[in-house]
Amino acid sequence: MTEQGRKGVIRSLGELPQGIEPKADLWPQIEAQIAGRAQAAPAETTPVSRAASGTRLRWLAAAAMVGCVAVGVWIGHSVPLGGAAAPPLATAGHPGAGALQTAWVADPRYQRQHAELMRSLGDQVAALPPASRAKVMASLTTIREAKHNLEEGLGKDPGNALLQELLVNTYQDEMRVLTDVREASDAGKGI
Amino acid sequence: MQKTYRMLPAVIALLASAVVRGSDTTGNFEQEVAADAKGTVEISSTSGTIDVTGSDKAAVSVKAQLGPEVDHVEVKSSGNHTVVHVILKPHGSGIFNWGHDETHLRVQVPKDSELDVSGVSANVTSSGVLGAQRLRSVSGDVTADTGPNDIEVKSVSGNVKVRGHGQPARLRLNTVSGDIELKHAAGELETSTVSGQVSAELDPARAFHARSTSGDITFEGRLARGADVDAQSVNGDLKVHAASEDGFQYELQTLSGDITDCFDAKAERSGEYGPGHKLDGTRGGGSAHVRLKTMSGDLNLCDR
Repeated sequence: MTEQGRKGVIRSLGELPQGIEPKADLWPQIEAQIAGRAQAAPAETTPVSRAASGTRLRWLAAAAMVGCVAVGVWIGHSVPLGGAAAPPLATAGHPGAGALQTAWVADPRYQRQHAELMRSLGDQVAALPPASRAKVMASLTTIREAKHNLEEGLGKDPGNALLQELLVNTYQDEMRVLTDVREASDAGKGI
Repeated sequence: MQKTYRMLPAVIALLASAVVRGSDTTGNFEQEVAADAKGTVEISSTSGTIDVTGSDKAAVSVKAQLGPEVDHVEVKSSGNHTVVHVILKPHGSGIFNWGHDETHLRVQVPKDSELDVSGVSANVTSSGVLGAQRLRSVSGDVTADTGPNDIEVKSVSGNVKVRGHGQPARLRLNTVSGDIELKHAAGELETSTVSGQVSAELDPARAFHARSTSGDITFEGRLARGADVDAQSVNGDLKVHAASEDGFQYELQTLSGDITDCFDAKAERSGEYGPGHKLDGTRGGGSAHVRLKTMSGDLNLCDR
């Protein structure tokens, strides 16, 4: 390094300049822009537009919640626990579940599978060993009651993520049980 | 002479048939076939018991005491696949006459075999088998020893009992109403039940995923570094008592139940207005994750 170069090297923080002035004062331009926005703002915050904005936000929140549930169901469908069949999206439409629940889009594949399994449930349960019949029916009642309680809870608190997650999982569990019962009755006939 | 050779297969078949039919008259059956040491053995029987044991012998050996509804026992080995099927009489009342046809089947298989056992009301027992196992029964209990390979056990109303030997394996245990008990296991467990009780010991555990509707779930053991514990129940209580190699992060939530722990952390309300309590935090290094969620059950977490 040359002597001239060494002079240009800063060796301590104290050698740094205390302030660097801009070539031009930018503040007047910024101030004018802020003032311009402030004049335009009152028109956007009238009571009517605030209400519209609130409604829009509520719809957006509702849509986001439906989206979350749909994603949860889709994930559950893609990675079933214990070989469970397709989980649901639509609910039984429990009156306490609230209007939002009716907006849940039904997955036609789930509805078809569920309806099919429920239709043949009587025959399948009848084909089970007596020791199993009562226990299976009791378990299905347990699931039905759990769904009812969860839907009731969601009716009171539609945004409760814990209840939403448990409800989706309970639907999956119901499908798993129905599928297991079908496999079990088929096993009895096959042997 | 040529005629004698031509007749030989028929004579052998007749003799084999005579042996089997001779066994039927006494209710006892016995047959052994050569089998691949690492092949698959498929066994099915409706009721009574199915006991399977692993051995060093490259053969599948079947001994059975047959019930009155049994037509015959099919034992076949082809390539690396051996089947043992207890076939009921075609027009008998056997299929729906659950529990009255007491067939006791004892099958010895090569210890490294893959095992696929299916019963209806039969109690299934497996021990000394090191290969992967798939055991199913509708109302019968299933009891099994695990080796280092995967095991999948499913029962509708029967209880499931699995005992490990500390070797890491992947386990899937499912029932509808039966209880599930796992002891001395290691590795990963995925388990679900509607109303049965789940009790699992894993040391160390890499993953524990459990779900129930009304049954209680208990996990005891040690968490490996980065382990994942996720248990959920609608109405059941959840209890996790797990030491860990490098601590864990925890997230507990219940709507109407209580949350307790052994390290004096205090649960707080989930929201300002709604019901529910939650407990979040970290123990030690926090490399493992514990998530416990229930609607009305109680939650209990301990790190020892």
